[in-house]
Amino acid sequence: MSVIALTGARRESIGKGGARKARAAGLIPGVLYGHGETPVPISIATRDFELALHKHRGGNAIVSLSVSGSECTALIRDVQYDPITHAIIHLDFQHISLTEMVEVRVNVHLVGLPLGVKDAGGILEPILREVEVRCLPTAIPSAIDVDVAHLNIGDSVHVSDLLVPDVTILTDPGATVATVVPPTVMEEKPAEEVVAAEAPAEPEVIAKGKKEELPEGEEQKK
Amino acid sequence: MLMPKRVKYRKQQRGRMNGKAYRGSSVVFGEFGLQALEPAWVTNRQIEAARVAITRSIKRGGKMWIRVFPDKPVTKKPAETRMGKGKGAPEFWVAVIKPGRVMFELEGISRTAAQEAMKLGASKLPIRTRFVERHELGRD
Repeated sequence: MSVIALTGARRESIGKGGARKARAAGLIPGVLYGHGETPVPISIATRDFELALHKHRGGNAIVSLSVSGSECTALIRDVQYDPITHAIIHLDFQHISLTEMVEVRVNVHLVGLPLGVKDAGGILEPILREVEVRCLPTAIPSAIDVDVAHLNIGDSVHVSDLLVPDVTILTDPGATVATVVPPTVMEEKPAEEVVAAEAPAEPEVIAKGKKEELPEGEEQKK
Repeated sequence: MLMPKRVKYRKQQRGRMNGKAYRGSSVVFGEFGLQALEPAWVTNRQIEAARVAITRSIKRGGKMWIRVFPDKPVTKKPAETRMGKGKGAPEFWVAVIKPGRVMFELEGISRTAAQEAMKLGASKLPIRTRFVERHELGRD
C-alpha cells in the first residue's frame, strides 16, 4: 500500500464554531491522535485532500501527514460525510508506525456469479461486508476477494474460507460472509383478507404504573 | 399496514422537524437506497404503497429493507365540530422524516432494476427523494 502525502495545519479554534469556520474557509476539520500523544486538532484543504485520495481504492489509506512543520505517518480512521451533500465534514487520523501492527477493517469483495443465482434464481446475500484484520500498515489489503461462483442455494462462505497472506483475521472464523438464499415469492392476498387487515385498529396502551402484587394480609405502606 | 403494537400514550404533540437526519442517513443493509431530501410526515399508507410498488417492480429476486417506521399518531377532529372539547381521535400513523434519511434499501438486483423500482416507490411518497448507493471515500 502506497503512502499518500498530505499537508495540514494546526487548528487553533476548536469545537463546533471552529469547525464550521474551517469548513467555510474551504478546509476540512480533523484530529490527529494515537501513539500516546495528546490529540491535535488539525485542518486540511478540501481540494488537496480530494485530489490526494482521488485514486485511492479500498479503505484504510495511509498518509504522510505534515502538520505545521512536523511530519508523521497516519492512518485515516474515520471520514464523516454530510448526509445530503456527501461533502466530507470531518477526518480522524491515527498516528501509526510502519513497523507496528494495526487493527483495521477491510472490505470483502464477492467474486463471480453463484450457481444458485445463475441456475435457480436465488439471491446472493452478503452478510459481512468487512472483516477485522491485524497486520503491518504496509500489508493492509485494499480488499479481500472471495470466490462465490460455486455456491448453490443454501450454501455459504465463512470467514475461515478467507485466505490472505501476511494478515491475521480477527473476526470470528465461523461468521458467515455471504450466503445464497432462495428467491422471495410475492404473496398476493385475497381481497377480503386485505380489507380485514386494513381495518383501523388502535394499539394497546401500556397501563400507567406497575401494580405490585402483595401477599394477602399485607397492606401497601405509603 | 405498519403501526406500533403497544404504545405508552394514545396521542402525541406534533413536534418539530428541524435539521438533517444524521442517523439513518447512509445505506447500511443493502446496496442501493432511497434517500429523502425534504422533511415530512410520511403516513403508513404511503410507506405501504411505496413498499408494494417496489416489491412489484423487483418481482422475485432482490431483498428489501424498510428503514422507517410510523410510530407517531396523528389525531383529527371530526368534521363540522366546534373548537374545544379536547384533542381529536387518533386517525393515522406517520414516520417523521428529515432530509437525508434513507427510507428503503435494496439488494440482489442490478443497478438499473433498483433505480426503476425506487423511482416507482418514490412516486408514492409526498417528498423529493434521491437514489443512493453505498458511499464512502475509498470504499467501493
